[in-house]
Amino acid sequence: MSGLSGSQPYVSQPGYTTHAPPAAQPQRAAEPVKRAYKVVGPREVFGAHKGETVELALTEGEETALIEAGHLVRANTNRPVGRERKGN
Amino acid sequence: MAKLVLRDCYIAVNGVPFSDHVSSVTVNLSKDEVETTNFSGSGRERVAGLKDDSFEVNFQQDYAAANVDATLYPLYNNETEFTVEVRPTAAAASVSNPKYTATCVLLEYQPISGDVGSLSETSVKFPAQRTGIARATS
Repeated sequence: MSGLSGSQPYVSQPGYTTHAPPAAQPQRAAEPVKRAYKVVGPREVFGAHKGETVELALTEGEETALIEAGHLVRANTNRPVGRERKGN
Repeated sequence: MAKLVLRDCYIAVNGVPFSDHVSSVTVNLSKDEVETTNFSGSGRERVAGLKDDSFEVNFQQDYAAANVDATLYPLYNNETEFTVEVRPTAAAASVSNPKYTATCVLLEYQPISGDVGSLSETSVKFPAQRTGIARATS
């Protein structure tokens, strides 16, 4: 490992504390992605009723929780809705 | 606006309304108290610190698919952030029916709690993340 001056190697000094690298930080909610979902549970979800297909912008965590709970399934396609293709 | 008797509070967790399975709700707005007492007076002085808002909701437990337990457990187990919204009535948010919303986490959850012969209920606290609980009228 090179020292700060560039030419001299880094030497740990007695009495100095070597710090561990920063720990992993808790992940914040990722950016929501807009997709089409079908409401399959008995309760309405974001205003949509059972059997309806609705476009929702959900984070990955929100989507996973709603699908695991049995409220939603992804509608037909896994392709994100509302994104323009390159070149368009 | 007239005084209000709570009859049809709107409570939605991760976009799913649960008013028909909730018997009480509390919106807690709180800030840390940071003491700034000094020698310029004869009493204590303080300023507001960090927000520490939360929602407290008493659910009537239901283990059916897509119901209370099926909704809350993934939020707890996956350590997911989600939105919680509370309004005094089920009507749309307005000046006389403000909505309180926040991004929350679920850190404690008792899926079963109760005595013999009693209704299965679970009291849940949703601490608000970062910006705390926001109030909006539209």
